[in-house]
Amino acid sequence: MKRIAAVTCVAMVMAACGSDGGDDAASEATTAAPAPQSTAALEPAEEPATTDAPATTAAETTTTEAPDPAGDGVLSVPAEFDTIQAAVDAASYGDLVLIAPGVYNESVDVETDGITIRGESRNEVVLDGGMELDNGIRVLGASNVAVENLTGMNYTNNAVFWIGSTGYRASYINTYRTGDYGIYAFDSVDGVIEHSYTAGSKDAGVYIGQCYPCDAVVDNIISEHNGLGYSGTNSGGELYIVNSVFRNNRVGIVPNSGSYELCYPQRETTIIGNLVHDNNQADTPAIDVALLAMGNGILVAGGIGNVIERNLVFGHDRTGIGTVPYLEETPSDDLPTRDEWELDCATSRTLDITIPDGAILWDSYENAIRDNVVSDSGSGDLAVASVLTDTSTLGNCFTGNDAATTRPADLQTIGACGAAASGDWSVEALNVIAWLTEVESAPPSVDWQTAPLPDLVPQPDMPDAATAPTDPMTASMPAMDADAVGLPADPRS
Amino acid sequence: MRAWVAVAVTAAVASAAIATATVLLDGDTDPVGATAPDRIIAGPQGGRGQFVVECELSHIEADDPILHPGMAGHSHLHQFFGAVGVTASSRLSELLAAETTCDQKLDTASYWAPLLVTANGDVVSAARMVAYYRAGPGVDPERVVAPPAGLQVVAGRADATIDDPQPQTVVSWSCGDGAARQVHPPDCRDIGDLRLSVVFPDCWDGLNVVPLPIGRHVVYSTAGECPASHPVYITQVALAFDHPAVDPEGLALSSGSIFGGHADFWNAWDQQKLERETRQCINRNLACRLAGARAP
Repeated sequence: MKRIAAVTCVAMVMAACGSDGGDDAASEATTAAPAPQSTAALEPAEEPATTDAPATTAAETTTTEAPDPAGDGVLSVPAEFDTIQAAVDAASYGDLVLIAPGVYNESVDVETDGITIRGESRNEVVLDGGMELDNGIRVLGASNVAVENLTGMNYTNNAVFWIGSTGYRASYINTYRTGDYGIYAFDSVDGVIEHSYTAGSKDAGVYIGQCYPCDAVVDNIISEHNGLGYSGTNSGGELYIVNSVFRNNRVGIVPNSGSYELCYPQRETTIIGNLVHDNNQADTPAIDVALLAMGNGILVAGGIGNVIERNLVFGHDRTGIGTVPYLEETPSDDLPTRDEWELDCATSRTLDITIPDGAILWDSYENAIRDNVVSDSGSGDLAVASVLTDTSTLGNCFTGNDAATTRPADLQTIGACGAAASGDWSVEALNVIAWLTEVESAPPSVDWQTAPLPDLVPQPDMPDAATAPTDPMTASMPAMDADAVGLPADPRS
Repeated sequence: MRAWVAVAVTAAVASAAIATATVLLDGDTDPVGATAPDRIIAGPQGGRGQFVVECELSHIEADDPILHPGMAGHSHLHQFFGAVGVTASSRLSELLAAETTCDQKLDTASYWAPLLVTANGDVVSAARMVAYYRAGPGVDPERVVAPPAGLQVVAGRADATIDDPQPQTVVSWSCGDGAARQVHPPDCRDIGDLRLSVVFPDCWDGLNVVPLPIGRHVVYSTAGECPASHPVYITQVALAFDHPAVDPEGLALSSGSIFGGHADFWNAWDQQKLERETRQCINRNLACRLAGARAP
């Protein structure tokens, strides 16, 4: 019943169009000096791979079929193997595929567990799809594969992509210009995406989708000039997004629910200590969600039980931090019941499908927004919205935030964490339905192949890329102390 | 005189082809394979192996390289996706060398279907076509191989009508990528695109890549099994043509009745890539790509 009424309501709304182009904030300086890999402390590397950089003298026999010709666990490209794919195919568990500087027009598939693919230079080892190839590196169900210290650009789908993997790690990666995602982990668990930079992705710079619990960390990345800085459909559960920068995207961080992929609803992503600003960028590529939700910093769209703390958020045309509904116009299944929220992904994906006869609306429930510093937001530093549901009943709470404007008014009083909702939630409520008409005048998507990128400054290299040992166990989620993550420094000061 | 004879002969062959195609896809009494799938594969993506290609409209032409080869302008109007510049006279080698409107640049296959015709005669083309490659319903994904190079298939019956309808498991309509499928186009205005879905057979005889003049070279699996006559399990190709939503009242197709939905597939992929994707995504049962909800 609810969904039918929602559609009617949506269809009848006529609102003025007011989305404003968005200013182009100057890029800040690059990220802080690279910390040691956050995974390093988890397990001591016990198998010291060889330390020598590959000798170029081995290059006489360039195409070598024999696995690991030097017998040292290091497979060098192009010294020992002409292509990255050839080295990857020859590698076995624990091996390092070490790539010398150069441009590689390759689409690499990885099927072997426990290998590490590493560039000798993050900025000078470039996998280039030339706007023709689909994925830079695609890991197909293989476990504990790490990709380190290289650049992937100009791929029609994704630069680095894990699917169906248990254990993954992307470290010191750059991605520029991709038709779908920069770094993408789908139906994969137990992972790390860290010290990476992504720009110019049509869909999202980083996407973790279809997992619960995900057991994954996004740590110390920069995502800019993408449609979405971060997208997380139906993902969560021990999923942390920390210490990262999301700026000058159409939208910053967007966890959402949807029945078009499995493992709904989206739940329990912890977003702490990020710098999120000026996500109003009009000249990026974009999919429909990015057009609809343009101008928001951290936007939970139909998500449940997310924790958003100690982020510095400013300069958004709409909301700084918002929890809003997600309208799914052509759903593939009906909304899950409350007791189904508890089910893990392996269980929920086995449930029968019930096809609704109309659109469905995913409300955002029980999200906790605490101790953030939010400013300069066009329609509210903090906001909660629904279409049909009384927002006071959704259980979202707001406490300890430094925020000048809220929608509804006095949100930190009427919706304080740890207390029952009180007061009148209709005063200065956010009209999220207007977004559905405003989208018609949103700046259209720019082709990902030609959309302007920011100045691409060289990003810091992985420490000791030529000699650092490999350990497949570092391609898995490290211990996480979220309480230790603090508010980021203000780049304006 | 000579030319006229040639045309007449070709036309006769083409008519026979149409008749054959009708027989192929009509009824369910044939002992050597089904004329429709058991069920529609719908619902959330992500739980089964697939790869997906999204293609923009290439061109509109009254040509049909499968049913009317070499006869320009002899077909009803078709909308073409994939390989650019396909005509009634195109050859496989030309497709392989062509540009493509698909985001997968190694997919130079040609995909085509009739267009929508509204009650007041406006012809409406799709903004995009999505090709889903999957194992057929119930088929063990490890048994599936890529469609052979050059395979030509027509799915759906152009001559179906409201009184002689075709199975929804072959041809259906929906709003966007929603799982709710219908025999007649629903009203999708204010909801999403109007999608025509056509599902292709997934069992091949292992011998013939073209439907002419041999006849029935592909059929649908039943309960996950291909018949002995068509023992090769190939990927099930399901094409979705996403049109702007229009008033469904009085809608027709450029081929005639709105109930006569059909589509054509001519495999001219880079065959090595097609086989690789089949191995990596279908055999391993991984959702290598999901289609976006609506046309851009």
